[in-house]
Amino acid sequence: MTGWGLGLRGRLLLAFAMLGLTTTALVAGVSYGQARTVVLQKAQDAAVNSLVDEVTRLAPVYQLPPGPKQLNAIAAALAAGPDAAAVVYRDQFAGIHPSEIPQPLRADVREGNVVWQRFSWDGTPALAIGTQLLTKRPDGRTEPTGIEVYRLHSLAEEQHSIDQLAALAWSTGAASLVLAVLLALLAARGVLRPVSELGRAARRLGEGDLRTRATVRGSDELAGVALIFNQTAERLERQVGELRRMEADARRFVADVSHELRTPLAAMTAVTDVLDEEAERLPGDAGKAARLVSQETQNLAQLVEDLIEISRFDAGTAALSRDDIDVGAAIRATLRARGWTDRVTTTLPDGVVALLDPRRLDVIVANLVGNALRHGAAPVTVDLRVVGGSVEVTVADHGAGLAPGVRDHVFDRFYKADSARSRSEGAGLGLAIALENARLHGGTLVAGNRAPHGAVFTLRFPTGGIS
Amino acid sequence: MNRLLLAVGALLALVLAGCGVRPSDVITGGPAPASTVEGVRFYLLSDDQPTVVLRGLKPMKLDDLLSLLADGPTEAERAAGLTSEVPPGIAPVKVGTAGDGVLVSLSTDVRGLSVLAVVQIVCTIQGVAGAAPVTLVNGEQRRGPLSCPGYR
Repeated sequence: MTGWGLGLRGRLLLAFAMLGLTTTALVAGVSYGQARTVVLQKAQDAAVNSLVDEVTRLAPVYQLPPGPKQLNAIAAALAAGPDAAAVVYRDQFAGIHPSEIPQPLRADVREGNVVWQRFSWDGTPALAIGTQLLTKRPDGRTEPTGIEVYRLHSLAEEQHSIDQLAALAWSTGAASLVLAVLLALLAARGVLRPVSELGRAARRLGEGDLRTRATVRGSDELAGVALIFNQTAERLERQVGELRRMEADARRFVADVSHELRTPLAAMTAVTDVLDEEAERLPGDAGKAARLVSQETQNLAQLVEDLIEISRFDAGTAALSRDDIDVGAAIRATLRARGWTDRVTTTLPDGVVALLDPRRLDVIVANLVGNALRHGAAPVTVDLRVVGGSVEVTVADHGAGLAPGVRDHVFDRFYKADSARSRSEGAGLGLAIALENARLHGGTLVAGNRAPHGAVFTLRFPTGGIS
Repeated sequence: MNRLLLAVGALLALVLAGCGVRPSDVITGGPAPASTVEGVRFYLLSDDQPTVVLRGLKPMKLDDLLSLLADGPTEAERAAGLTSEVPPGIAPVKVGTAGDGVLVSLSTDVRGLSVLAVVQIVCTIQGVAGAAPVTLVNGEQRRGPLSCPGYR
């Protein structure tokens, strides 16, 4: 873009118009000037020759200083047609008044040559021609008689034809300007269409449509750009496809493994139940080992359940079974079921009804409160509010809060803020599952810190859910 | 871009200003046409320059011509601002030939004649007799041979 803010089209138009105008102005101007010179030259030469011719054919001068009669005779002989004539001898004159003749011409007439000058005669262009009458001496030389003759020849006719020339030049210029603009528009279309097509294709590619291809026309530079664009898009599409396939393979593998582990785990859980009962009676280390096996088996079973849940989200097969529920009552039930009612300060107004999947709400709330109890510090608060058209559940603690690096990854799978944490505290899938559940409802789950310290997790659902 | 606009504008202004038939300076062509004259030539003075005058007379002898010159300008010639320095005392005059020149005998002291008077006499004689040089004499006094100064 130039400083004028013109687009490509505007610049092309301007350049063409300038080019057309300049060329036409030059050509028309030069030929107009030439034609004018020729027209004027011809008219002037004809008028001068005619005057010289008539002067040489004048009746001989018989008296000097000439009497009025002789001056009048000469003036009458020279004033032919529309042309006026003046004859001057010193202070005498005949014909039109000498003051009508341009003064520079009168001064130059005395030099002894035929002289002429174009001037404006009462507003119309005219040619003034002047000469002296010479006489031949017996020795062959000439000498001035002192009689000056002038003729004023109107150039109105020449003016008219020159004006016509000018009109022709102007109309030629206008026509060429129109032509230039038309050509510029045509050229701009030819150049700009592929450019804008390429622009559209690039925008679609940027928006994620990897199958976008530009149309390649001809073999010019723009076609080259389109070709490169297509090659780039193709490579990008291939690589993204590869990545997606690999990711899908990995997920399917996780899902398959989880499913395969489920059956043996069920059997193991049944066995550990028995072991738990027997552990009381087992002496020393054997009892401890039995309890450990039982605990780890439960963790493993939980992990496998979480993995299967995540796999469902990834595969898009997670289904919502929604109901109109009292959110406050549901949260209270969750806390009660896990025995956290005494450890949590709640603000749960009654009558906040939303269309939610109660099981998934339970999963989310249990996760958030469990995390707050495990990693944060008391008091842990659970607040329920209605903000605008949505239900907002806030779970906060008064611990150290989330470190800046942690906050961005807290929802990542298998992410543990403290790598030295004991394995028994979970695999790190809880918040990921909570987030997926919130999203499944069309809601959001945001992690943050609050003043003066402590972590806050804000869960927000649309009241009506998504129908 | 601005400079280009300026150039185009200047060009346009030039084209507009050059339209139509413009007044010109004085254009000088060939020499003025010469025509024949009738009558007898004399040379009088206009602002101390020898100037030709014509009198509608029959051709006459050079002697009589100089006598007429000595009589001075006519009424009309004086009215036109012409003067003469030829004294009336030069008459009577005799004109003869000497070799290829013209010998003019005057009745007055030729050395006492003013330069302009001599020019008038010489030009008047050459205006009739042609290019032959003119010598003015009075007894033993002589001036010449002389020629009329040329004109452009």
